[in-house]
Amino acid sequence: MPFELPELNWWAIAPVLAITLTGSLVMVVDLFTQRRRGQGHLAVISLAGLAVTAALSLLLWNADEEAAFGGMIIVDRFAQFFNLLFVFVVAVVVLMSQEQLDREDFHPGEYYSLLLFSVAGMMLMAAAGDLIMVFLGIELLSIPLYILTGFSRRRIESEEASIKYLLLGAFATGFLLYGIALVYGTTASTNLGCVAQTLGTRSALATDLCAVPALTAVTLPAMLLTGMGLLIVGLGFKAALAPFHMWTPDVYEGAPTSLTAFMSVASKAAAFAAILRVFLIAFPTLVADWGFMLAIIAVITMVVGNTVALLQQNIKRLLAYSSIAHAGYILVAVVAANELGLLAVLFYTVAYALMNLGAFAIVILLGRRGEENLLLGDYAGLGYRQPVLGALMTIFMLSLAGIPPTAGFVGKFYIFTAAVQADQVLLAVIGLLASVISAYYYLRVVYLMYMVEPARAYAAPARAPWVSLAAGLAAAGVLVLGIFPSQILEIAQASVRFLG
Amino acid sequence: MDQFPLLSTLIFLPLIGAVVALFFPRGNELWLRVWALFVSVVVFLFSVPLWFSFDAAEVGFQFVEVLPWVPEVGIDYRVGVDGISLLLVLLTTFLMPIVILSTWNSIEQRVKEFVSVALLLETAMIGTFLALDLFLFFIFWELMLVPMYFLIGVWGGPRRIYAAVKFFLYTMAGSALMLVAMMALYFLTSVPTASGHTFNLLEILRIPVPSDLQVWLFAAFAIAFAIKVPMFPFHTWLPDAHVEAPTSGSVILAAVLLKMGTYGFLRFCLPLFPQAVVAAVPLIALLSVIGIVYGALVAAMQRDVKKLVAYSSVSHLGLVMLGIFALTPIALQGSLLQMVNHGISTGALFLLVGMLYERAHTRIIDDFGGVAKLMPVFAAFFLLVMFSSVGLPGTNGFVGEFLILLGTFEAAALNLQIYAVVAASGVILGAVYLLWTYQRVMQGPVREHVGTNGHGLRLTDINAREIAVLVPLAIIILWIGFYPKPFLDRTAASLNAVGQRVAAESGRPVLAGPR
Repeated sequence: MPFELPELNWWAIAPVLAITLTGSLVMVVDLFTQRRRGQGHLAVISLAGLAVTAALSLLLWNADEEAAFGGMIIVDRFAQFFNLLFVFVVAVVVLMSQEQLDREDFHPGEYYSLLLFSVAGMMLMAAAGDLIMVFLGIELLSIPLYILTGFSRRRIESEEASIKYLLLGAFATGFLLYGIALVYGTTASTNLGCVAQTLGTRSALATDLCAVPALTAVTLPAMLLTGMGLLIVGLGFKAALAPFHMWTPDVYEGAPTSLTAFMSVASKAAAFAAILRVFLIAFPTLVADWGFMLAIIAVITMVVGNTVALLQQNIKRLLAYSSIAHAGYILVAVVAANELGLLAVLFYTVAYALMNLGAFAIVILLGRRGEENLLLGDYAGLGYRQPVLGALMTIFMLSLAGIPPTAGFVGKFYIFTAAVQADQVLLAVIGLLASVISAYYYLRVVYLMYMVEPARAYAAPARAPWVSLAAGLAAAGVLVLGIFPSQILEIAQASVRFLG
Repeated sequence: MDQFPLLSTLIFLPLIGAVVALFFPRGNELWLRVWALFVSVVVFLFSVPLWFSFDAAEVGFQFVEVLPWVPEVGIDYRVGVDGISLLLVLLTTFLMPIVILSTWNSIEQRVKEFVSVALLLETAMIGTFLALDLFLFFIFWELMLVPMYFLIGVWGGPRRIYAAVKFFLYTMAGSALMLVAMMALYFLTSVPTASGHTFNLLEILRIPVPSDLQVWLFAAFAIAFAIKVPMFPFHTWLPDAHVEAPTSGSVILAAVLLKMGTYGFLRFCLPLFPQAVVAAVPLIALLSVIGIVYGALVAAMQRDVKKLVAYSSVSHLGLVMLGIFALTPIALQGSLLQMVNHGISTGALFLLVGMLYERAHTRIIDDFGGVAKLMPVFAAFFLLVMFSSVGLPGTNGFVGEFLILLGTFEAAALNLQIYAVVAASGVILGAVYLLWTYQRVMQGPVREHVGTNGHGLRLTDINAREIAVLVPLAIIILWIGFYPKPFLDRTAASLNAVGQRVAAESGRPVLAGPR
């Protein structure tokens, strides 16, 4: 059989190329300007590159849906939606990092380029049309993050977190690969469309590369179910679903705060994008099987995340467990597997990005060089010491707790409405009761800020205009999305048409 | 029809006032208070036309405003008022200026935050009563929690954080179930729009909810509302919240927030789930009667006046619940009127207790004695409010209680006579504990210096501002007591419609026949 090079449509991966080039450019420029004192130009280059990336994604928004690179990459609005989300998140994170680069003497060149490379991996995950691409995306996403986690060289926790993340991450990737292998063993393909076709659905994505005729239900082996289960483990690790969440609190606590914000929001969104791609495109016929598995994981995740968060004394660990719980909510919408559920996943990732980035921005703003102020007790009286910070944090906490009129409420509302529509009433009830539990620890931050006198005097936080800007933007987003969710819903609706 | 958006003005004017207050420079406590009073008075003035131009003969909603909000999922901004919500909205707008005036000297810390929170709360309360879209209703319903949480937690007593969190979580847990039930109702609707379903209450009222589903949905709504009322055995958050809350918080809590529960039963449970309602009558009536007697007995045993008033609320609202679930037109009317009455009299009682506390810094009954001699004007108001709370003829409380008991006794088909008898004895218990309190606090040997160790503060009679706070309440007490017709007229049509709907759809002759 002669080897044919598949037709390469570079345009299809233009955003990924743009962001990769930006990352490389930042590295090179850094090399030649290392002696300069200020490093603001690197941030500017990164933001400019992100703007180009966003523009390319917007251009691709109206492009025809197609599979490129021999079915490896899917170009559709779903991918562009996530591209734009990732670009937005990383732009906010770049703003949020300004203060920390300074405070912790980071080397900005590597910091920015690694962030950007990681985003390239996320984009590939959201656009993946093949299990191999999912794997490549995860690796490209993870390796920069392993390094970045250990970026606070002076803090031993940071290094510990980095090693822990690397080891457990490698382990999880092993599960993912094994899962891919088992799926390949059953269906003779790693292409999502081909897998679907082999399992008996007509898929628009199936190419003529698909080899094996449809399997009948009788021959459906346990191997495939095992493979699916292992895929859930591998992707669940990245999304921080319980019981694959053990790394989350330590890594989130150890990593530099701006990076924690990035991981908690962007990696999670990427993992969910991949979960939706894989399970909805490749395994729609087996929805009962994986739906059941994911439903159980969702319940465990919501319960574990929310109950363990109750006991936390460190704000970063609290937000880590809270991020686990939120992954559980999103998973409920995945389990619903209807159009509203898909909408809810997309809406919630946006809402969650806004409120979590905002909360972490406040965490950064509260710290100073050599004094991070990460204990919950450090929030005592904040509402009166720093009225604006207190008010913004209140908005983020109420949104995370799902109290109207915030984006968090609307997001939860869609998620559980989707669950009710899919007759998953029990799941909806458990989820809502879990969010009542969560209200307790979010409210704890609020009452510390407004109802408890601080135990000691605090110096005024350093002026950090860029971080403040990020927090302000996030708060405005949380409220606008909470009061006028219509716009983003329309966009989300357009984005999921292909999957649904 | 392009008319002035009166209801939206009522809802959002306080919100604008709250936001503006946030931008007042520090140190302007007096101006902040004046501003809050001004805003709340303006809101009240805007609500007055509602009373006059309300068409009492009209069954449906009036002053309706509709704006598309999230058309993708069938959510509208839809507000309107009918006979059920009219009085409660007016009660809210009427009480807010009084509450703000009453805090003139008692809230000295963080006035700016207080003013914003109080006005935000007003927005949420009015919005809850006026919302005709389930999603919108839920937004306002949950939004109420946040300012109330701050009100208790920031300006409250020693155990304020415990009380605030307990209040918040209790209510939120209840509403979580309600939210799921709302979603289920949503998917029962079908409308010819892009979304296919709608949260519009008027559409939802049109669908026949299947009988087997009614029980579940009713239970979900009922638990949320029962917690808010609060019905026995869900009442445990109430004494904590009341005791720890500042006077203004207690007044709003008792006068308006507790009505959200009973309002919810009237607005949603009765019309939407008539079969389940009829089936639940024995249970709810039993819990109501237990609440009436238990609340009264526990109140009688209290040493703290505020706690006494808090438990008396459990008792009074038990009576309201009994009236609602008697399902006869007279009982329904009595219940709605009694909701207003309870708001006025219990609100006034909390204000009076607050005035006493500001002077003596204690609320323990045994610390007082002969207060009537030192504070004669105060004692006169206390007596009147107490009569109203006891239900003495000539006061508003009598009219409400009488109608409820009459209507309950009349509900022959539901065999509620025995409940009416027990409830009436509960009313007598109310007279016992309140009169006993009056006797111990107001009469007996004069204790000029009140306080735990006998040399506390000197009691002085209430000043002009405090009289100005109490006079409007006294007027309403007597007005409803002597001439309740304008109030009953405006509620009759809507409540009759609800009663008939329950009768028709449940297939049970719940209405007493003409005699």
